[in-house]
Amino acid sequence: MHFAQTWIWWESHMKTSHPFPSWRFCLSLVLWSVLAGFPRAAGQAEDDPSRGEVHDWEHLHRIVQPAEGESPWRKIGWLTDITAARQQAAEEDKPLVIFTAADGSPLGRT
Amino acid sequence: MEAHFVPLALDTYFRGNSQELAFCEAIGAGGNHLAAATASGQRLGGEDMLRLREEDLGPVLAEYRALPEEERRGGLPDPADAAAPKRPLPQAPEGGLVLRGYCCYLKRGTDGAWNKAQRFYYELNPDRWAAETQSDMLWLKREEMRSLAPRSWSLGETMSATEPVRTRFFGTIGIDYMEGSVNALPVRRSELTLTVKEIRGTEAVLQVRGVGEMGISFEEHDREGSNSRGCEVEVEGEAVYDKEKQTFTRFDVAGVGKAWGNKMEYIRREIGIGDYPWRYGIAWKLTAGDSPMDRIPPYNLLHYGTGEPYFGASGP
Repeated sequence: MHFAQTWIWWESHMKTSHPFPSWRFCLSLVLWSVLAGFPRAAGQAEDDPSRGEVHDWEHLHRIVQPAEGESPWRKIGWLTDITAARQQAAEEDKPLVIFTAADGSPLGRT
Repeated sequence: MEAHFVPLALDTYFRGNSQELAFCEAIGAGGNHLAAATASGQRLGGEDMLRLREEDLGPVLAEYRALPEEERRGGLPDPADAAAPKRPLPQAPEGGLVLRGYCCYLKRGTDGAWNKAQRFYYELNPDRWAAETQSDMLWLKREEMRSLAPRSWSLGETMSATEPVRTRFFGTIGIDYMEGSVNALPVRRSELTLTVKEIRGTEAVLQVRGVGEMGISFEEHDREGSNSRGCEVEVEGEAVYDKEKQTFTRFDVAGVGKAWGNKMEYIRREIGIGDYPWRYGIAWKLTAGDSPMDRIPPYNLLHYGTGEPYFGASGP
């Protein structure tokens, strides 16, 4: 059955015999839902973290890491064992430079 | 640096055994700073605040060289006489997975591609300095790592990370931690899957995908209030599992996130943020696992975390 014919059939057979709202009301409701919901749906897409924003993960993986020359202290071969560092300093006759943080390793999140 | 000095990095919450603790106290190593000392425990550089630059460390080297040899190299105690540390430094799980995560702010270029966004501490101050990319560690126990490995070894097979593993990934190294001293956030919703996309001999190449929603939702957060942080992140990447080695030989994952709110009791960020909510990027990669720098514990394994056990109910 054609769509228009369906509505005619609905109006003539169902509207008066069943407690359903009119087809105009139904259509309005559908249109209203679509129109009112569109900005919300767009907003959800904007906020949804699974919307495919990564695009090129290899590019992202490269740029998120420290850029060349950004943190030269990362190139230093820091020791983290005090006793081992003291022994090495004594053997090599070098002073110790001690990089400290009170809330996490200075080589990580501090 | 290494040609003239022995570099040592310490989380001074873990100052080691009795001898190591005494050494730290003698040289004043206990806060967020740079110190210099002889092996025997004599402080160098006076009370000055040192920086990692030649003009600061040059005089320290001269001071050291002017000392008699006994003061430079002598007087080391016998480690056998040391009392055990009150706070032993946690060790990475035997046979587990050690990843390093990175975090930075992002912005889109004119071509639409993501770029690193440069931010500054005290942005309006003429002496401002740039915020560096942050990093942190993630540890998985052996059985957790193997739960991500293929079972049937067939193309298309998908492994879903368990809830404790997802919580650790997203709650600790999936959040924006650029501001420093940032605790983990509770994970409201997450997915993390690894799908076999190629078999190469003993190796399976896995596509990694996931999303996480952490902390307070944007709709419910208080922009002007403290402890109001929240974020969402989408991650993608590639991992390689070697069934002969029974471990991952690659775990490269990157993500784009959106973050909002304020850290702990603070309602003003030290790093200038222009956008709200702002965008951040994360990257995860395997460490070689054999250098001291690669063996530092994850920040949220320590007492600074949320109070939740790092390894969940099965943790140490």
